[in-house]
Amino acid sequence: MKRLPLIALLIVISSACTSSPRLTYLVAPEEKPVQELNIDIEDLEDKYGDYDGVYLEKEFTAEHAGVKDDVGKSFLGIGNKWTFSIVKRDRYVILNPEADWLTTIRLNAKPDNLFLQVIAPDGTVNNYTIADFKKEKDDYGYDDYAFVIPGVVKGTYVDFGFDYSYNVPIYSPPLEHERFLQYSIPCHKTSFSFLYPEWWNIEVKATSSGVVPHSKTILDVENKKKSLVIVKTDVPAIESEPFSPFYKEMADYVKLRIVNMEMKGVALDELTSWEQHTERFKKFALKHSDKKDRLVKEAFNQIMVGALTRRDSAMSVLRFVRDSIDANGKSKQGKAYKTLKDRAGSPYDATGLAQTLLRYGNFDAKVILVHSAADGYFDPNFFSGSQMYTLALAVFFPDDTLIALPYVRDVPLDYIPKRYQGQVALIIPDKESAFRSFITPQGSLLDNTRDEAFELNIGANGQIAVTETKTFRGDFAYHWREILRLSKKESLEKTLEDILEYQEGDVSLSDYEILNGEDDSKPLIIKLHYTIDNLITVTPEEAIFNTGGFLSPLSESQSELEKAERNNPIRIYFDREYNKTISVTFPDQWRILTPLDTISFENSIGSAQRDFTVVGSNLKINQRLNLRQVSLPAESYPDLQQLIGASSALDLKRIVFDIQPADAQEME
Amino acid sequence: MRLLAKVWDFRYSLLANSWSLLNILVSISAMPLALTYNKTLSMDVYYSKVKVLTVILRCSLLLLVLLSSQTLAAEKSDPDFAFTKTYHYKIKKRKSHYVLSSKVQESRILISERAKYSSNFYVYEGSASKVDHLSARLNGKKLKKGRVGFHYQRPKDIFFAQDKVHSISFPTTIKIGDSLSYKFERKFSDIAYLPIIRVPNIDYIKRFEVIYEHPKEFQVDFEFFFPRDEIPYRILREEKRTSLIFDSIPGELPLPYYNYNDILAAALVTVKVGGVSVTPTSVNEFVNWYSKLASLQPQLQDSDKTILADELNQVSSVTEKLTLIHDYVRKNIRYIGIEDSAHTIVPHEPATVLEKQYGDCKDRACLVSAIASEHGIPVQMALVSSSWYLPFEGEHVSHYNHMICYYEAGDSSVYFDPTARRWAFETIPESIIGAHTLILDPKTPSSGSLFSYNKSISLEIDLEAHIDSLENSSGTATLSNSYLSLALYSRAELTASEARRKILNGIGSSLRGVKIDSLIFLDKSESSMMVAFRADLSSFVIKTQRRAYLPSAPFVVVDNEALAREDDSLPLMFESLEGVTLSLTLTTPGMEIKADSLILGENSDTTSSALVDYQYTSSIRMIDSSNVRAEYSFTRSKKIFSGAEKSHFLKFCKDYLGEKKNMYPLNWINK
Repeated sequence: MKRLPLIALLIVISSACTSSPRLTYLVAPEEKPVQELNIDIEDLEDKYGDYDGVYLEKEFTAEHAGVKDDVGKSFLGIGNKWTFSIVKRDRYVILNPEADWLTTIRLNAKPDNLFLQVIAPDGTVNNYTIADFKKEKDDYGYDDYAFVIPGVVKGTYVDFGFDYSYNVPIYSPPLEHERFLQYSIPCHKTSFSFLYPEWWNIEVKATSSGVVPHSKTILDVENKKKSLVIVKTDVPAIESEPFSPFYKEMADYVKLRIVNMEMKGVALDELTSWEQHTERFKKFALKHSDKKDRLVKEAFNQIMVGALTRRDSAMSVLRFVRDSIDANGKSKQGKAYKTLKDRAGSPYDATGLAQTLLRYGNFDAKVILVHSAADGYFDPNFFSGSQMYTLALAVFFPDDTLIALPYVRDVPLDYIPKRYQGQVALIIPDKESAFRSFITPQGSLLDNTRDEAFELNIGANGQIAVTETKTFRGDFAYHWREILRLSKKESLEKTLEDILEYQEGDVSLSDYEILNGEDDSKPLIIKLHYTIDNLITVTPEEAIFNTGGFLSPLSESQSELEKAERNNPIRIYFDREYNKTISVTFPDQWRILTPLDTISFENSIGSAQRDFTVVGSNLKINQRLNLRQVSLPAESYPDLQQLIGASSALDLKRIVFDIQPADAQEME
Repeated sequence: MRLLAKVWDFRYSLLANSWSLLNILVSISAMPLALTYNKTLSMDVYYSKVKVLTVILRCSLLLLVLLSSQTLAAEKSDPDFAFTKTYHYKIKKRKSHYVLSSKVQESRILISERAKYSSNFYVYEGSASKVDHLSARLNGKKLKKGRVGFHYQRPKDIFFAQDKVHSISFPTTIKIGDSLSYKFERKFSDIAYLPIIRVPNIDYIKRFEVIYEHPKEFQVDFEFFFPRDEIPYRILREEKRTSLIFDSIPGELPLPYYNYNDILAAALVTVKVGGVSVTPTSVNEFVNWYSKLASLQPQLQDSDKTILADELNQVSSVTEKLTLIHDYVRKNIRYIGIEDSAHTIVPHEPATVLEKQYGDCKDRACLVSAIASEHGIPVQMALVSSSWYLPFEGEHVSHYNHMICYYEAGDSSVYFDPTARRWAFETIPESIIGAHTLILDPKTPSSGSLFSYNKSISLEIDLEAHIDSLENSSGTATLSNSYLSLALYSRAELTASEARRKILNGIGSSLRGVKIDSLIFLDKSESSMMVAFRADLSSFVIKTQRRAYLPSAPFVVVDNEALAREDDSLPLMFESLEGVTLSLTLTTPGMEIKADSLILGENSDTTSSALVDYQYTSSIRMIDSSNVRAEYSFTRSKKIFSGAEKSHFLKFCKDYLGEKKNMYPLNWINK
């Protein structure tokens, strides 16, 4: 009886509330003759036989429903419900019964309702329910529901749908939503609906400059509900191809966020600027305390011992943080002295410590957030943390900006992965400087150049002695240093043999030298001495030198570029240059018969040059290949092939020598 | 370059995961995230997931670099760490069964900088051996809970599996001199699972000790296998305890074409009471044990007895009937394993497999046996060790990882594999040819090795070319065995353009200097497929101002890695067979060639047509006034070459490689 007054109060409150009820639920398919589905399996196979299947329709609906507490705050929020629900339905035809991803279903939560209708090509209909799914625990003790569709053959039609809802916890409401609208198989029709209370406001992210996915918004006055609806038809599949942009730079998707809402007595503290976003990060990375940071200052002075230049000093600090701080540790809430003392903290703490250390050297060093190209286009008006979350440290020099990730142990200090090059970055403000944004540097050409020099001495028996010098910088040097660091001496020789340019011939590595292996401020140089057998055919009159690929422009990419067609645009994220200098010394009796043409051309993607000089018994070849930072449509594919494909003009397959008899030479 | 590309891929993956890790950490602290629609996972959980993936990828990179790079002649470096491992088994007798449990402890002391990169360790848990109380210590201090975790191992086509991988992640700041250790307990469901001892071939073993604590009437015996030279060991026998100890064992360099690189010793453990084995070790004991878990004579239930009945009644021979059954199962039953606890090694009932139309290898073999039995054909299930078998006299459940079918009548017998979707009856996937088998015949079980009926030639290439337009040549190829399997797989699983590319790569990669494209499919039977293509032979036939040349050794089938094995006494082990022929008809108006031929390898001095283990032949001749025919053939069976046979084979390899620089010259008639 004591509860009655409380219930009465809630009824009064509820009746006075503005509500937006849930409108979308799962609707099971009608039982109707298979013929009415109009599925022509032969036609589908003709059109889409290359793919595992085809979506006839994909529908996805997300909905927020509940009561706006607009008569003052409800009593502890009791009585008001804010629910988030989704309704999903996929109708597809399986063209490859071995494609597990279409023939098995795994759900990582129990849906409220579910239907699964499977129709065999002979018209047999089978319906399944959640009771047919097998429940098992996932890695974290949650229930998974899994089902293997029985009896799948080519042409099996699947109609699968479920809905799922939950009461929104006010401490982590779902306020941002993203959905792909393009898939790995073709799709006849896909739709995305987002329903939300009419007193809310949302924003949709632009997916490229000035392009927001086409949508319409419908207002349901009676139910106080707005619906944003996007429908796409005849959506082609997206495939993986080399030199493509990141997936979200190509595929259709929708991303939206709620910018203004009130529900269940909770109002959204939404982001309204990028400055606000950086402020939120500040407390996790930067908590300077001149008094307590004394320890940090002492550490800085010790680190500086021996550093000659300003850049060296900065690198020493970054190296110290990278190599000494375990960034997988517990958060120190930006307290640099604690991070230093414990030699552990979060990535924020490690980055904050680096910045604090550099402050003592009067460096212009800032903790920054960098956008990733893998997240697609950066929409400056879409204020969302999901566009800007990667932490880094920027050190500004008069003519250079160093971007570093001091919390990632195995990455060189000045290495910026391509996804972060040329991207928008935000400075997290501190005492000395205000918020601002800037564009991260592109990888410089100097840093992405690979130089190779070959000295070949061909003996009269056709055996070749080679000295090969590879000079790596930037990206290339980083990967090679990783290999060197992980390899034991005895395994390294084999690894080095594997990277020799010769695809044919029997190579025997006799010696090697590695210069600047530990010093990542200098180019990495690998010098290899080896002999090659069985690459030259010597007849009484001629010698045929199969170049075995060492004159190919970029051998590791050729096989990927053999494909005749191209669907994706071409993206090269930064300039690269490949230089080869080859000196071939051959026996005095030999004369080059192969016409050696100078090559020089340029196209939309880059340029290639090769020239030859023959002096006596020595042939010198200089070859240069440039790939430019480009973003081009698929139609430019032939240009890419022309430069680095298997049919590239740079790929000189063989050199034929004329062998003059010894007496003839004497006559000369 | 292939290795480099792989490493790069791995590095990018690692890097990506580093970012993910950061992203998650950032997310935990600072921002409202885009929510996963299906479940609100706690971010800590997500963090752990990413972390597990990261450490797996890191470990993979390390393995890739360290293991794939096999050394040939270098001296060994100093060790990176000192390794100690102790297994302490307890065997107890209950009324009607035996209880087996173990405590395992591993530790390593870091000696080199490189050792710091091995900071993640894994413990596998199968349905028959549960892991408990896993903990780890760094320099004696217990690691925090978050650094010890697990995930379920769920391969793509094993849908329900209880197998877990526990992971231990030490801090990345570990340094030289640190001591890393972990321990756990394991409980076994049956004494039959008492593990084979495997002494790992790692950097340096300071001590490797296996202790068996048992009732005094028990006898523990060991059957040893040493892949290299025998390494010293001690067996200590006490009344209730038997110990096997290895001390101070340095690692060995991995060898190419040798399949026991990962161990230095193995021992099969037999436990006996009063002379009677309680671990199923002999063939009879093992089959008897397995027959208590699974029916070895499965039957169809009444409602399924009509399966294939009409079709089988229309053919008379056993071969025809078995072909029908084999084809039905391999083509209609999808490969999906449901390996819940009862079915890790036990097949599902045929009725279940027929209802669901999917199953794994043992489900399929069991179904075939049941259908055949219904029609009076005694087909046995047969266990197969598809990876390299540890050559023990005794049996062990861990030897086997596959199940196929076996039929025997009088002198004739046949193995067939209904899991091999693209292998017709009387052909066997190359991966299991020669594998050790155990025929689960309840009356007369037997073990043996899997013989093959496959054609010796897997790829037959015919090329036609004109000397004046070598770029516009054409060819056909007949694909059998693994090439057929690849082609069928590619056509079924890949997009049309990817399938064409894959098949072209498969054919083209076996030839030097031939570029092929524009593939079309011509003809297909159960045992072969014919394709046609355009070919560019401008690098295959070499034209100079004086003459033209045809290669003497056109196949890319021998690499000189095998030659590096000349000086050791261990066998060379080849996991696949090679069988390729090339026939070229070259129109060469105005040119002539001197007939020539070459035979290398076995039977090189005879005209015997018997199957040989390795042989290379080539011949060239004018077939008329303006056409040259060149024919080449290379065969090498899937085989282990040891002793004198190994020496002969290596000489053959050397001779073949030497032929690469020889050519057959074509001369102008009037010049």
